[in-house]
Amino acid sequence: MLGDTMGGDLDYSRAIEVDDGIYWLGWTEENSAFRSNPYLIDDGDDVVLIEPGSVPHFNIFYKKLKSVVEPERVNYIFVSHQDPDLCTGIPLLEEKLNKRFKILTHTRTTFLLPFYGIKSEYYAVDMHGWKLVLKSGRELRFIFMPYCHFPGMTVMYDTKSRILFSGDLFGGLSYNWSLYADEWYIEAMKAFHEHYMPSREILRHNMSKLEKLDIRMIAPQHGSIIREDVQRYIDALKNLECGEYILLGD
Amino acid sequence: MATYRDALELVIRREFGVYGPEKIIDFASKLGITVGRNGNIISMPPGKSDRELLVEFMKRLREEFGEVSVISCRVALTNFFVKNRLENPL
Repeated sequence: MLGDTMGGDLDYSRAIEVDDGIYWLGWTEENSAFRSNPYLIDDGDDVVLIEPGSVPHFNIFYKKLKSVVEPERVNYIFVSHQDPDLCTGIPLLEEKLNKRFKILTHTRTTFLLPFYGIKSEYYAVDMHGWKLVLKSGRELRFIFMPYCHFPGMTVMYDTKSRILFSGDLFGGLSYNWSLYADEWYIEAMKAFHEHYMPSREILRHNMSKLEKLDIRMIAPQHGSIIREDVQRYIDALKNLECGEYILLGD
Repeated sequence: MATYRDALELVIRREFGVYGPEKIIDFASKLGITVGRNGNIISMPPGKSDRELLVEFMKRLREEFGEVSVISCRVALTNFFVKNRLENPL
C-alpha cells in the first residue's frame, strides 16, 4: 500500500519540509524494506529536484511536488546514478509538464539515462568543476564516489543548508522506517551497504572525502535522514566489512 | 574468543535495525531467549548449545519474517565466522 502512514508527529502522506525550502517528497510502503526519498530544493529562481523516483510511485510523488511548488518551476534534476528506483519517473515528468530539464549527474551516468527515454539535456558535473552555482549564488557541490556502487556515483552537497544528498550511500534496508534515523538505523544502513558496496577499501576512501565537508544532515535516497552525530555514520561505513566476493572465496 | 552466542547477538542487533526492537524481542522470547533493549542476550534456554540456538533462530526468523531477515545479516555473519575461524553452521 502506498501512502498515508503517520510517523509520530509527522504526516507522511504530505510533503515534509526538512530544512528551510527543502522538502521530502517520498512515500511510505507497508510491505517494503526499500523505500525511495525524493527531495526538492526551492531556491526561488531555481528549483532542484533530487532523485524524483520511479514509475509506480510517480502519482504520489507528483501530488507532493505540486503541494510545495508549481511543478513548471523545476529546472534542475540531480541523480547520483542511474538505478531505476530513483529516476524512471523523469520521462513521466517531462511528458506531464511538456518540459525539459537540466539533469545534474556524472558523464558516466549520462550515457545510460537516455535508455529510460529521458529527453532532457545533461549538465555533466565532472565537466563543470564539480559544482553548480544557482542564480541566487547558492553553490551546489558534487563529490565523486566512484564504485559506490556505480562507477559514476556522485553525491551532492548543498553549501547553504550543509545537507549532503547522498544517493544510495547512507541508505538503509528497514521495515521499521521513520523519516529521521533512530538509534538502530545504523544497523539497517549496514545491511544495505554490505550487499551493495563493492569493498571496504573503496568505501573507506570515498568516506574520507566526506570528512572534509561540514555536513549537518545526510539525506539518502533510501532509508532515513541522518540529522544527528553524522560522523558516527561515516565512521560506521569506513569500517564496514563489505565485498562479499572476498568473503565467499572461489 | 568469539562464540556462536556473539553471532546471535550480531543477528539480533541487525534485526533491531530492520524490524525494530519490539518485534525482535518478542520473537526471541518465543524461542526462550531473553533480549535486552540494547540487543544483548540476557538469558538462553537450557538444553541447547549456542550453535543449535543460532541455527534455530535463523530458521524461525526466515519462517516468520521472510527472506529479507536472512539477507540483511548474511554478509555480516559470513564475515564474523571467517574472521573468528568459526565453522559456518548455516
